[in-house]
Amino acid sequence: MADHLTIDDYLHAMRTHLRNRHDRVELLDEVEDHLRSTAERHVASGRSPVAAESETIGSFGDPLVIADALADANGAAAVPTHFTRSIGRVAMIGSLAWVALPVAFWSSHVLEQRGRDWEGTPQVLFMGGTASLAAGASITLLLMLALRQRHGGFRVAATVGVGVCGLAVAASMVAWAIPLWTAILAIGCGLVAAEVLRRGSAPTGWAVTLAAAWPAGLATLVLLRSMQFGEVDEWGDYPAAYLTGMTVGCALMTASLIGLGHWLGNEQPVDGPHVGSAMAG
Amino acid sequence: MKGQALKGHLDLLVLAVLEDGAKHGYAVIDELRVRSDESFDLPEGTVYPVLHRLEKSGLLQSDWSVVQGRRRRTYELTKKGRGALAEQTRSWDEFTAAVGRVLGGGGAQWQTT
Repeated sequence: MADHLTIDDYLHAMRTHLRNRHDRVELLDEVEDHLRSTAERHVASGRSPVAAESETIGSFGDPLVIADALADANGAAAVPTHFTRSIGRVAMIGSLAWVALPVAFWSSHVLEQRGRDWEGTPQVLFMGGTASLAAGASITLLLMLALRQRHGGFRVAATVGVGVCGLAVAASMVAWAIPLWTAILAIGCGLVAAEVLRRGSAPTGWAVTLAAAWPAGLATLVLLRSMQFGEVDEWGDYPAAYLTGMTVGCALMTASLIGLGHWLGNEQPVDGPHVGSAMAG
Repeated sequence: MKGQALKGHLDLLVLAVLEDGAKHGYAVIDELRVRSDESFDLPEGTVYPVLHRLEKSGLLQSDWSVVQGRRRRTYELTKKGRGALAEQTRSWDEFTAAVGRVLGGGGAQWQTT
């Protein structure tokens, strides 16, 4: 460190280096308290203010090395990136998959009820619904990953939630087992949404919608099933109850994907050097 | 003692300094210096990442206050931190005792048998 550097210069160097961190203010406040306290002590012991600051800075260490060590100790930065922005935009468009799913399943069901041969249009529509579920679950998984990155990582429970959302992609292979994949999504999205709410960065309303989507769908399904809603099918079940519950979940999921996707998709990324230089200082 | 040699022991030293009560980073560094008779020579800034890491591990907890118009962060041991301090102190004692026995030349019995 050059002798003429002041505490302000030192803090400026650290501030610039830590510009992408959400916890920058806390990190710098603590360093500033240390530096100014030390300098005041040196002045009280008879040194000049310039010498006191110089000695203080010299004994604290290189600002960039210390800043990196602080950043490492505190984990990844919780900042918007090009990845989070891209996934946010994809999620808004991809939310249509959660619209297409109930449309396809309901259409298949209604046509079958009207006596159409299952191996014709109803089956094609069902396969389309299955593809929509796979797409919707995949986009949801991507959104969870983007939310994780946007928050600089999740706690263990929420990270498990992201993994559970990955299971939902696999569960789309058994799209007919609506309670199964609905429950998987309820757990996965719920764990992630709880973490997002705890961190408080994302829009609360959309995070709550994410948490509520599949529990609401499941609750509707169970309630209507217990009420024997709709016509009974050849297996003694009530498909309209399942489809209605699923539709509730899909509707709320669409809304949360649009809301959270809009939030992520409209944030300015800070992970590019061109952006960083614009923000410096 | 040089910073590199201290590096592996900083966690234990910081925990030990905080054993008798809450302190802010500056006081932790000051206490390290005083207790070691100014033997420990490391950049002061390197102690803060240690404090943050210990807090993330749940061994410390911190609180903010305002002193002389500046925000000040104070650290104290958690229950888990006290347990870790006791455990690490025990390990350190065993290690130094073993090293002491080796350096003291506790007798090469193979020569006499």
